[in-house]
Amino acid sequence: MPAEASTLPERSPLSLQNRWRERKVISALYGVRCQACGTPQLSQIGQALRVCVNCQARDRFEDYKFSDKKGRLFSYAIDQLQPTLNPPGVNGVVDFEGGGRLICELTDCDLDKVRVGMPVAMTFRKMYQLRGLVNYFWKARPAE
Amino acid sequence: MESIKDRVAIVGMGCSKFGERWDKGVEDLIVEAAYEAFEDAGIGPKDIQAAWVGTVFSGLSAITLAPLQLQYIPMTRVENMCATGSEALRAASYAVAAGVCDVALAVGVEKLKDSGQTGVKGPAVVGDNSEGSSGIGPGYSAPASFAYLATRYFHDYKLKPEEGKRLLAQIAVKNHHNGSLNPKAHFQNELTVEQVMNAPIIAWPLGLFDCCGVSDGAAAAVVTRADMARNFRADPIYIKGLQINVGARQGAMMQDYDFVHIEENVLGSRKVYAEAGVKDPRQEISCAEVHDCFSIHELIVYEDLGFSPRGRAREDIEAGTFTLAGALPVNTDGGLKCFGHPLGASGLRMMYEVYKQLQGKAGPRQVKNPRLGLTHNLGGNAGTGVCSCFIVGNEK
Ligand SMILES: [Zn+2]
Repeated sequence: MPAEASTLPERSPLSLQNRWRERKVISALYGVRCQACGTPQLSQIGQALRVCVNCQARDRFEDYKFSDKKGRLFSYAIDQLQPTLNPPGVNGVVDFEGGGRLICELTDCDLDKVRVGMPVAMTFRKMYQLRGLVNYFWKARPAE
Repeated sequence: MESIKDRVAIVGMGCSKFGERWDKGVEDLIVEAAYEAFEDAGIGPKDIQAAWVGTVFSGLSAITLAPLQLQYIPMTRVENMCATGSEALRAASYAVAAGVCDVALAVGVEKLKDSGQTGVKGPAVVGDNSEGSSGIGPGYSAPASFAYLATRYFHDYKLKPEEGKRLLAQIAVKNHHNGSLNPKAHFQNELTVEQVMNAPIIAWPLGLFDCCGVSDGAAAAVVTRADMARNFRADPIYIKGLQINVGARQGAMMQDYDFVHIEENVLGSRKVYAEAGVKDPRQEISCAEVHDCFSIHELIVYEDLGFSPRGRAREDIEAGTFTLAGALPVNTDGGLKCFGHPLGASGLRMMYEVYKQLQGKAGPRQVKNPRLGLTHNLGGNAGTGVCSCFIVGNEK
Protein backbone atom coordinates (compact mmCIF):
# COMPACT_ATOMS: atom_id res chain seq x y z
CA MET A 1 0.00 0.00 0.00
CA PRO A 2 1.55 3.34 -0.94
CA ALA A 3 2.36 5.59 2.00
CA GLU A 4 0.82 9.04 2.02
CA ALA A 5 3.13 11.49 0.29
CA SER A 6 5.15 13.69 2.59
CA THR A 7 4.06 17.31 2.81
CA LEU A 8 7.70 18.37 3.07
CA PRO A 9 9.26 19.87 -0.06
CA GLU A 10 10.59 17.27 -2.49
CA ARG A 11 14.12 16.00 -1.97
CA SER A 12 16.95 17.17 -4.17
CA PRO A 13 17.41 14.99 -7.26
CA LEU A 14 19.91 12.13 -6.94
CA SER A 15 23.09 12.69 -8.88
CA LEU A 16 24.44 9.63 -10.71
CA GLN A 17 27.80 11.37 -11.01
CA ASN A 18 28.01 12.01 -7.27
CA ARG A 19 26.87 8.45 -6.51
CA TRP A 20 29.49 7.01 -8.87
CA ARG A 21 32.24 8.96 -7.10
CA GLU A 22 30.97 7.78 -3.73
CA ARG A 23 30.25 4.16 -4.76
CA LYS A 24 32.41 2.68 -1.99
CA VAL A 25 30.53 4.60 0.70
CA ILE A 26 27.19 3.65 -0.79
CA SER A 27 27.86 -0.04 -1.48
CA ALA A 28 29.93 -1.00 1.57
CA LEU A 29 29.83 1.96 3.94
CA TYR A 30 33.48 2.74 3.52
CA GLY A 31 34.84 5.77 5.32
CA VAL A 32 38.43 6.59 6.05
CA ARG A 33 40.88 6.46 8.95
CA CYS A 34 43.39 9.26 9.41
CA GLN A 35 46.95 7.97 9.32
CA ALA A 36 48.14 10.97 11.32
CA CYS A 37 45.78 10.74 14.31
CA GLY A 38 43.96 7.41 13.82
CA THR A 39 40.43 8.87 13.76
CA PRO A 40 37.90 6.81 11.74
CA GLN A 41 35.47 9.13 9.93
CA LEU A 42 32.58 9.04 7.52
CA SER A 43 31.06 11.87 5.52
CA GLN A 44 27.39 12.58 6.16
CA ILE A 45 26.72 13.82 2.65
CA GLY A 46 28.71 11.66 0.26
CA GLN A 47 31.68 13.95 -0.05
CA ALA A 48 35.21 12.63 -0.22
CA LEU A 49 37.13 13.47 2.94
CA ARG A 50 40.29 15.39 2.11
CA VAL A 51 41.18 17.05 5.43
CA CYS A 52 40.90 15.22 8.77
CA VAL A 53 37.99 16.35 10.96
CA ASN A 54 40.10 15.76 14.06
CA CYS A 55 43.67 16.90 13.28
CA GLN A 56 43.29 18.68 9.93
CA ALA A 57 46.02 16.59 8.24
CA ARG A 58 45.44 16.69 4.47
CA ASP A 59 45.08 13.55 2.33
CA ARG A 60 46.56 11.12 4.84
CA PHE A 61 43.77 8.57 4.84
CA GLU A 62 43.39 4.82 4.47
CA ASP A 63 40.08 3.13 3.64
CA TYR A 64 38.07 2.07 6.67
CA LYS A 65 34.96 -0.08 6.51
CA PHE A 66 32.08 0.82 8.84
CA SER A 67 29.46 -1.66 7.61
CA ASP A 68 30.76 -4.50 9.82
CA LYS A 69 31.30 -2.40 12.96
CA LYS A 70 28.97 -2.61 15.92
CA GLY A 71 27.43 0.64 17.09
CA ARG A 72 25.46 2.22 19.89
CA LEU A 73 22.68 4.76 19.72
CA PHE A 74 23.88 8.06 21.19
CA SER A 75 20.59 9.89 20.60
CA TYR A 76 17.49 9.48 18.45
CA ALA A 77 14.50 11.29 16.96
CA ILE A 78 11.20 9.83 15.77
CA ASP A 79 10.03 11.94 12.86
CA GLN A 80 6.38 12.12 11.80
CA LEU A 81 7.18 14.36 8.81
CA GLN A 82 10.02 12.39 7.24
CA PRO A 83 9.49 11.10 3.71
CA THR A 84 10.44 7.47 4.27
CA LEU A 85 9.23 4.07 3.02
CA ASN A 86 9.12 3.02 6.67
CA PRO A 87 7.13 5.69 8.57
CA PRO A 88 7.44 7.16 11.09
CA GLY A 89 11.08 7.98 10.42
CA VAL A 90 13.25 6.68 13.23
CA ASN A 91 16.67 8.27 13.15
CA GLY A 92 19.70 7.76 15.30
CA VAL A 93 23.13 9.08 16.05
CA VAL A 94 25.21 5.91 15.76
CA ASP A 95 28.60 5.76 17.48
CA PHE A 96 30.76 2.93 16.11
CA GLU A 97 32.99 0.71 18.21
CA GLY A 98 36.52 1.87 17.46
CA GLY A 99 35.43 5.43 16.60
CA GLY A 100 33.39 7.31 14.05
CA ARG A 101 29.78 8.48 14.02
CA LEU A 102 26.93 8.39 11.51
CA ILE A 103 23.51 10.01 11.78
CA CYS A 104 21.19 7.70 9.86
CA GLU A 105 17.77 6.13 9.64
CA LEU A 106 16.89 3.16 11.85
CA THR A 107 14.84 0.18 10.74
CA ASP A 108 13.27 -3.06 12.02
CA CYS A 109 12.75 -1.52 15.44
CA ASP A 110 10.03 -1.57 18.02
CA LEU A 111 9.35 2.13 18.66
CA ASP A 112 8.81 1.52 22.37
CA LYS A 113 12.20 -0.09 22.75
CA VAL A 114 14.33 2.55 21.05
CA ARG A 115 16.59 4.04 23.75
CA VAL A 116 19.85 5.86 24.24
CA GLY A 117 22.66 3.30 24.42
CA MET A 118 20.84 0.65 22.33
CA PRO A 119 23.30 -1.62 20.44
CA VAL A 120 22.86 -1.47 16.65
CA ALA A 121 24.27 -3.06 13.50
CA MET A 122 24.29 -1.69 9.97
CA THR A 123 22.08 -3.07 7.19
CA PHE A 124 21.84 -2.23 3.45
CA ARG A 125 18.36 -1.00 2.52
CA LYS A 126 16.25 0.71 -0.09
CA MET A 127 15.89 4.32 1.04
CA TYR A 128 13.58 5.70 -1.63
CA GLN A 129 12.97 5.96 -5.35
CA LEU A 130 13.00 9.35 -7.02
CA ARG A 131 12.71 10.26 -10.70
CA GLY A 132 13.41 6.69 -11.77
CA LEU A 133 16.48 6.15 -9.56
CA VAL A 134 16.44 3.78 -6.60
CA ASN A 135 18.50 4.97 -3.67
CA TYR A 136 20.06 2.19 -1.61
CA PHE A 137 22.03 3.08 1.49
CA TRP A 138 22.67 1.95 5.04
CA LYS A 139 20.33 1.95 8.00
CA ALA A 140 20.94 0.85 11.57
CA ARG A 141 18.90 -1.94 13.17
CA PRO A 142 18.70 -3.08 16.79
CA ALA A 143 21.33 -5.74 17.61
CA GLU A 144 20.43 -6.97 21.10
CA MET B 1 42.98 43.13 14.33
CA GLU B 2 40.48 45.86 15.18
CA SER B 3 37.06 45.38 16.73
CA ILE B 4 33.86 46.68 15.12
CA LYS B 5 32.86 48.12 18.50
CA ASP B 6 31.40 51.65 18.33
CA ARG B 7 32.45 52.27 14.75
CA VAL B 8 29.04 51.74 13.13
CA ALA B 9 25.51 52.70 14.19
CA ILE B 10 22.04 51.65 13.12
CA VAL B 11 19.99 54.77 12.43
CA GLY B 12 16.87 53.32 10.88
CA MET B 13 15.02 50.02 10.92
CA GLY B 14 11.90 48.53 9.40
CA CYS B 15 10.05 45.25 9.74
CA SER B 16 7.10 44.01 7.74
CA LYS B 17 4.14 42.25 9.26
CA PHE B 18 5.10 38.57 9.39
CA GLY B 19 2.66 35.81 8.55
CA GLU B 20 0.80 34.17 5.71
CA ARG B 21 0.97 37.15 3.39
CA TRP B 22 -0.99 35.55 0.55
CA ASP B 23 -1.79 38.92 -1.03
CA LYS B 24 1.79 40.21 -0.97
CA GLY B 25 4.87 39.25 -2.95
CA VAL B 26 8.59 39.40 -2.17
CA GLU B 27 8.52 42.91 -3.68
CA ASP B 28 5.84 44.10 -1.28
CA LEU B 29 7.65 42.70 1.76
CA ILE B 30 10.92 44.39 0.71
CA VAL B 31 9.27 47.77 0.09
CA GLU B 32 7.31 47.54 3.36
CA ALA B 33 10.44 46.91 5.45
CA ALA B 34 12.88 49.17 3.57
CA TYR B 35 10.61 52.23 3.43
CA GLU B 36 9.90 51.95 7.16
CA ALA B 37 13.70 51.93 7.67
CA PHE B 38 14.20 54.95 5.35
CA GLU B 39 11.49 56.92 7.14
CA ASP B 40 12.86 55.90 10.54
CA ALA B 41 16.32 57.16 9.50
CA GLY B 42 14.87 60.31 7.97
CA ILE B 43 16.41 59.56 4.56
CA GLY B 44 15.28 58.58 1.10
CA PRO B 45 16.40 55.74 -1.14
CA LYS B 46 18.79 58.11 -2.96
CA ASP B 47 20.86 58.42 0.24
CA ILE B 48 21.75 54.70 0.19
CA GLN B 49 25.30 54.23 -1.14
CA ALA B 50 25.50 50.42 -1.02
CA ALA B 51 23.14 47.58 -0.16
CA TRP B 52 23.14 43.94 0.87
CA VAL B 53 20.16 41.62 0.67
CA GLY B 54 19.91 38.32 2.50
CA THR B 55 17.66 35.61 1.13
CA VAL B 56 17.98 31.84 0.97
CA PHE B 57 15.24 30.94 -1.50
CA SER B 58 13.39 34.09 -2.52
CA GLY B 59 15.72 35.57 -5.09
CA LEU B 60 18.99 35.22 -6.93
CA SER B 61 21.60 37.99 -6.76
CA ALA B 62 21.10 41.54 -5.53
CA ILE B 63 18.61 42.07 -8.35
CA THR B 64 16.25 40.74 -5.66
CA LEU B 65 16.26 44.39 -4.50
CA ALA B 66 15.03 45.69 -7.88
CA PRO B 67 11.60 46.53 -6.38
CA LEU B 68 13.31 49.37 -4.46
CA GLN B 69 14.62 50.92 -7.70
CA LEU B 70 17.93 51.91 -6.15
CA GLN B 71 19.79 53.41 -9.10
CA TYR B 72 23.02 51.69 -10.13
CA ILE B 73 24.77 51.32 -6.76
CA PRO B 74 26.88 48.40 -5.50
CA MET B 75 24.60 45.66 -4.17
CA THR B 76 25.17 42.03 -3.20
CA ARG B 77 23.05 39.10 -2.17
CA VAL B 78 24.32 37.05 0.78
CA GLU B 79 23.24 33.64 2.08
CA ASN B 80 24.26 31.97 5.34
CA MET B 81 21.29 29.75 6.13
CA CYS B 82 19.33 30.86 9.22
CA ALA B 83 21.90 33.63 9.85
CA THR B 84 21.27 35.13 6.40
CA GLY B 85 19.57 38.32 7.61
CA SER B 86 22.28 38.86 10.20
CA GLU B 87 24.90 38.30 7.51
CA ALA B 88 23.42 41.15 5.43
CA LEU B 89 23.73 43.47 8.43
CA ARG B 90 27.29 42.33 9.06
CA ALA B 91 28.28 43.00 5.45
CA ALA B 92 26.75 46.49 5.45
CA SER B 93 28.38 47.30 8.80
CA TYR B 94 31.79 46.09 7.66
CA ALA B 95 31.56 48.23 4.53
CA VAL B 96 30.81 51.31 6.63
CA ALA B 97 33.59 50.44 9.09
CA ALA B 98 36.01 50.03 6.18
CA GLY B 99 35.19 53.57 5.15
CA VAL B 100 34.14 52.66 1.62
CA CYS B 101 30.63 54.03 2.15
CA ASP B 102 28.90 56.15 4.76
CA VAL B 103 25.29 54.98 4.49
CA ALA B 104 24.45 51.37 3.71
CA LEU B 105 21.28 49.30 3.63
CA ALA B 106 20.77 45.72 4.82
CA VAL B 107 17.56 43.91 3.84
CA GLY B 108 16.48 40.38 4.69
CA VAL B 109 13.51 38.75 3.01
CA GLU B 110 11.90 35.36 2.59
CA LYS B 111 8.57 34.33 1.07
CA LEU B 112 8.08 30.77 2.24
CA LYS B 113 4.33 30.42 1.93
CA ASP B 114 4.12 30.55 -1.86
CA SER B 115 5.47 26.99 -2.12
CA GLY B 116 2.26 25.58 -0.65
CA GLN B 117 4.38 23.17 1.41
CA THR B 118 4.86 22.85 5.14
CA GLY B 119 8.60 22.99 5.52
CA VAL B 120 11.70 24.61 4.19
CA LYS B 121 13.10 23.06 1.04
CA GLY B 122 16.71 22.04 0.69
CA PRO B 123 18.99 19.07 0.44
CA ALA B 124 18.43 15.99 2.61
CA VAL B 125 21.40 16.98 4.75
CA VAL B 126 22.36 20.54 5.58
CA GLY B 127 25.17 21.74 3.36
CA ASP B 128 24.76 19.07 0.67
CA ASN B 129 24.73 20.14 -2.97
CA SER B 130 21.04 20.51 -3.69
CA GLU B 131 21.61 20.21 -7.44
CA GLY B 132 23.41 16.87 -7.28
CA SER B 133 22.77 14.98 -4.09
CA SER B 134 24.35 11.66 -3.20
CA GLY B 135 21.15 10.64 -1.41
CA ILE B 136 23.16 9.45 1.58
CA GLY B 137 21.49 11.73 4.09
CA PRO B 138 18.47 10.24 5.87
CA GLY B 139 16.34 13.27 5.00
CA TYR B 140 14.64 13.77 8.33
CA SER B 141 12.81 17.01 8.99
CA ALA B 142 14.25 20.05 10.75
CA PRO B 143 12.25 19.25 13.92
CA ALA B 144 13.92 15.82 14.03
CA SER B 145 17.37 17.33 13.75
CA PHE B 146 16.69 19.27 16.96
CA ALA B 147 14.83 16.39 18.63
CA TYR B 148 18.21 14.65 19.03
CA LEU B 149 19.12 17.45 21.45
CA ALA B 150 15.96 16.99 23.50
CA THR B 151 16.37 13.20 23.66
CA ARG B 152 19.91 13.53 24.89
CA TYR B 153 19.22 16.48 27.23
CA PHE B 154 16.42 14.53 28.94
CA HIS B 155 18.74 11.52 29.18
CA ASP B 156 21.77 13.34 30.59
CA TYR B 157 19.82 15.43 33.11
CA LYS B 158 17.52 12.54 34.07
CA LEU B 159 14.28 14.24 33.07
CA LYS B 160 11.32 11.95 32.49
CA PRO B 161 9.65 12.69 29.11
CA GLU B 162 6.75 14.38 30.94
CA GLU B 163 9.12 16.57 32.98
CA GLY B 164 11.23 17.46 29.98
CA LYS B 165 8.23 18.34 27.84
CA ARG B 166 6.77 20.46 30.65
CA LEU B 167 10.05 22.35 30.89
CA LEU B 168 10.14 23.04 27.14
CA ALA B 169 6.45 23.99 27.14
CA GLN B 170 7.19 26.93 29.43
CA ILE B 171 9.45 28.40 26.74
CA ALA B 172 6.69 28.22 24.11
CA VAL B 173 4.18 29.73 26.56
CA LYS B 174 6.54 32.63 27.36
CA ASN B 175 7.19 33.40 23.70
CA HIS B 176 3.51 33.25 22.80
CA HIS B 177 2.71 35.65 25.64
CA ASN B 178 5.26 38.09 24.22
CA GLY B 179 3.94 37.56 20.70
CA SER B 180 0.40 38.31 21.90
CA LEU B 181 1.64 41.84 22.63
CA ASN B 182 3.10 42.32 19.16
CA PRO B 183 0.95 43.39 16.17
CA LYS B 184 3.72 42.40 13.71
CA ALA B 185 3.85 38.77 14.87
CA HIS B 186 2.40 35.94 12.77
CA PHE B 187 0.87 34.25 15.84
CA GLN B 188 -0.59 36.57 18.48
CA ASN B 189 -2.31 33.97 20.65
CA GLU B 190 -1.47 32.91 24.19
CA LEU B 191 -0.85 29.21 24.87
CA THR B 192 -1.08 27.15 28.05
CA VAL B 193 1.46 24.56 29.21
CA GLU B 194 -1.23 21.89 28.82
CA GLN B 195 -1.95 22.90 25.21
CA VAL B 196 1.75 22.65 24.39
CA MET B 197 2.21 19.31 26.14
CA ASN B 198 -0.88 17.75 24.55
CA ALA B 199 -0.18 18.94 21.01
CA PRO B 200 0.43 16.36 18.26
CA ILE B 201 3.99 15.03 18.14
CA ILE B 202 6.05 16.26 15.19
CA ALA B 203 9.38 14.65 15.99
CA TRP B 204 9.52 12.89 19.33
CA PRO B 205 9.89 14.37 21.87
CA LEU B 206 8.99 17.67 20.18
CA GLY B 207 5.34 18.52 19.60
CA LEU B 208 3.65 21.05 17.34
CA PHE B 209 4.13 24.00 19.69
CA ASP B 210 7.79 23.17 20.30
CA CYS B 211 8.34 24.13 16.65
CA CYS B 212 8.35 27.62 15.16
CA GLY B 213 6.06 28.51 12.32
CA VAL B 214 6.70 29.00 8.62
CA SER B 215 5.91 32.49 7.41
CA ASP B 216 6.64 35.37 5.04
CA GLY B 217 8.48 38.48 6.15
CA ALA B 218 11.16 41.09 5.60
CA ALA B 219 13.21 43.45 7.75
CA ALA B 220 15.73 46.17 6.99
CA ALA B 221 18.38 48.36 8.61
CA VAL B 222 20.16 51.55 7.62
CA VAL B 223 23.70 51.80 9.02
CA THR B 224 26.17 54.65 9.07
CA ARG B 225 29.44 55.70 10.68
CA ALA B 226 29.13 56.06 14.45
CA ASP B 227 30.50 59.61 14.28
CA MET B 228 27.76 60.59 11.80
CA ALA B 229 24.92 58.80 13.57
CA ARG B 230 23.57 61.78 15.49
CA ASN B 231 23.10 63.67 12.23
CA PHE B 232 20.30 61.18 11.56
CA ARG B 233 18.72 60.78 14.99
CA ALA B 234 19.18 61.47 18.70
CA ASP B 235 19.03 57.81 19.68
CA PRO B 236 21.20 55.74 17.32
CA ILE B 237 22.04 52.17 18.28
CA TYR B 238 25.74 51.34 18.22
CA ILE B 239 27.19 48.06 17.02
CA LYS B 240 29.31 46.49 19.79
CA GLY B 241 30.14 43.14 18.27
CA LEU B 242 29.32 41.04 15.17
CA GLN B 243 30.44 37.43 15.22
CA ILE B 244 29.71 34.53 12.90
CA ASN B 245 30.96 31.09 13.89
CA VAL B 246 30.72 28.12 11.51
CA GLY B 247 31.23 24.42 12.19
CA ALA B 248 32.66 21.78 9.85
CA ARG B 249 30.50 18.76 10.83
CA GLN B 250 32.73 17.92 13.79
CA GLY B 251 29.74 17.02 15.95
CA ALA B 252 28.15 14.86 13.28
CA MET B 253 31.38 12.91 12.71
CA MET B 254 33.10 12.64 16.08
CA GLN B 255 31.94 10.92 19.24
CA ASP B 256 33.13 13.60 21.65
CA TYR B 257 30.20 15.86 20.73
CA ASP B 258 27.53 15.52 23.42
CA PHE B 259 24.25 16.72 21.79
CA VAL B 260 23.44 18.86 24.84
CA HIS B 261 25.19 21.99 23.61
CA ILE B 262 26.05 23.61 20.28
CA GLU B 263 29.74 24.36 19.98
CA GLU B 264 29.18 27.17 17.46
CA ASN B 265 26.90 28.92 19.98
CA VAL B 266 29.48 28.64 22.75
CA LEU B 267 32.41 29.88 20.67
CA GLY B 268 30.44 32.55 18.78
CA SER B 269 29.06 34.05 21.99
CA ARG B 270 32.42 33.97 23.75
CA LYS B 271 33.94 35.90 20.85
CA VAL B 272 31.17 38.49 20.70
CA TYR B 273 31.41 39.07 24.45
CA ALA B 274 35.15 39.66 24.08
CA GLU B 275 34.56 42.01 21.13
CA ALA B 276 31.86 43.97 22.97
CA GLY B 277 33.71 44.00 26.30
CA VAL B 278 30.99 41.99 28.07
CA LYS B 279 32.37 40.08 31.07
CA ASP B 280 29.19 38.71 32.64
CA PRO B 281 26.46 38.30 30.01
CA ARG B 282 23.78 37.37 32.53
CA GLN B 283 24.27 40.69 34.32
CA GLU B 284 25.18 42.93 31.39
CA ILE B 285 22.83 41.89 28.57
CA SER B 286 19.51 43.72 29.00
CA CYS B 287 17.48 41.66 26.51
CA ALA B 288 18.18 38.98 23.92
CA GLU B 289 16.55 37.66 20.75
CA VAL B 290 17.72 34.07 20.31
CA HIS B 291 17.06 31.36 17.75
CA ASP B 292 14.03 29.53 19.15
CA CYS B 293 13.42 27.48 16.00
CA PHE B 294 12.59 24.67 18.45
CA SER B 295 11.96 25.07 22.18
CA ILE B 296 14.84 22.74 23.10
CA HIS B 297 17.24 25.01 21.25
CA GLU B 298 16.19 28.09 23.22
CA LEU B 299 16.89 26.09 26.40
CA ILE B 300 20.31 25.06 25.14
CA VAL B 301 21.06 28.64 24.07
CA TYR B 302 20.48 29.82 27.67
CA GLU B 303 23.36 27.57 28.69
CA ASP B 304 25.55 28.02 25.60
CA LEU B 305 25.43 31.82 25.80
CA GLY B 306 26.16 31.86 29.53
CA PHE B 307 22.72 33.11 30.61
CA SER B 308 22.33 30.00 32.81
CA PRO B 309 25.06 27.77 34.25
CA ARG B 310 25.55 24.52 32.27
CA GLY B 311 22.80 22.04 33.04
CA ARG B 312 20.80 24.55 35.10
CA ALA B 313 18.52 26.28 32.61
CA ARG B 314 15.62 24.54 34.33
CA GLU B 315 16.03 26.65 37.48
CA ASP B 316 15.96 29.86 35.46
CA ILE B 317 12.99 28.77 33.34
CA GLU B 318 11.03 27.88 36.46
CA ALA B 319 12.05 31.16 38.15
CA GLY B 320 10.84 33.22 35.17
CA THR B 321 14.30 34.72 34.53
CA PHE B 322 13.66 35.03 30.77
CA THR B 323 10.11 36.46 30.90
CA LEU B 324 9.39 40.15 30.20
CA ALA B 325 9.50 40.87 33.94
CA GLY B 326 12.54 38.66 34.54
CA ALA B 327 16.20 39.54 35.00
CA LEU B 328 17.10 38.74 31.38
CA PRO B 329 14.09 38.88 29.05
CA VAL B 330 14.55 36.62 26.01
CA ASN B 331 12.56 36.80 22.77
CA THR B 332 10.57 39.79 23.94
CA ASP B 333 8.86 40.14 20.54
CA GLY B 334 7.59 36.55 20.50
CA GLY B 335 10.62 35.01 18.82
CA LEU B 336 10.64 32.66 15.87
CA LYS B 337 7.85 30.90 17.73
CA CYS B 338 5.45 33.74 16.95
CA PHE B 339 7.12 35.30 13.91
CA GLY B 340 7.86 32.06 12.08
CA HIS B 341 11.19 31.76 10.35
CA PRO B 342 11.45 33.38 6.94
CA LEU B 343 15.16 32.57 6.87
CA GLY B 344 16.56 35.68 5.23
CA ALA B 345 14.47 38.02 7.37
CA SER B 346 14.80 36.52 10.84
CA GLY B 347 18.17 37.97 11.92
CA LEU B 348 17.12 41.50 11.00
CA ARG B 349 13.66 41.00 12.56
CA MET B 350 15.43 40.14 15.82
CA MET B 351 17.60 43.24 15.51
CA TYR B 352 14.47 45.34 14.91
CA GLU B 353 13.12 44.29 18.31
CA VAL B 354 16.41 44.88 20.13
CA TYR B 355 16.74 48.29 18.41
CA LYS B 356 13.25 49.31 19.55
CA GLN B 357 13.89 48.00 23.07
CA LEU B 358 17.13 49.99 23.37
CA GLN B 359 15.31 53.13 22.19
CA GLY B 360 12.55 52.57 24.74
CA LYS B 361 9.98 52.13 21.98
CA ALA B 362 8.85 48.54 22.54
CA GLY B 363 5.45 49.50 23.95
CA PRO B 364 3.84 46.89 26.20
CA ARG B 365 6.92 44.68 25.83
CA GLN B 366 9.40 47.32 26.97
CA VAL B 367 12.16 46.07 29.30
CA LYS B 368 13.49 48.36 32.05
CA ASN B 369 16.53 50.59 31.46
CA PRO B 370 18.15 48.51 28.70
CA ARG B 371 21.76 49.21 27.72
CA LEU B 372 22.94 46.20 25.69
CA GLY B 373 20.93 43.85 23.50
CA LEU B 374 21.93 40.60 21.81
CA THR B 375 20.69 38.78 18.70
CA HIS B 376 21.53 35.17 17.92
CA ASN B 377 20.86 32.79 15.03
CA LEU B 378 21.80 29.20 14.47
CA GLY B 379 21.48 27.66 11.04
CA GLY B 380 22.05 23.94 10.57
CA ASN B 381 21.62 21.79 13.61
CA ALA B 382 23.26 19.79 16.35
CA GLY B 383 26.42 18.48 14.74
CA THR B 384 27.19 21.39 12.50
CA GLY B 385 25.92 24.90 12.15
CA VAL B 386 26.26 28.56 11.30
CA CYS B 387 25.94 30.76 14.37
CA SER B 388 25.61 34.53 14.48
CA CYS B 389 25.96 36.49 17.73
CA PHE B 390 25.56 40.26 17.57
CA ILE B 391 25.58 42.82 20.39
CA VAL B 392 24.34 46.41 20.13
CA GLY B 393 24.01 49.20 22.69
CA ASN B 394 22.39 52.60 23.15
CA GLU B 395 25.50 54.33 24.49
CA LYS B 396 28.80 54.84 22.78
ZN1 LIG C 1 43.70 13.14 11.81
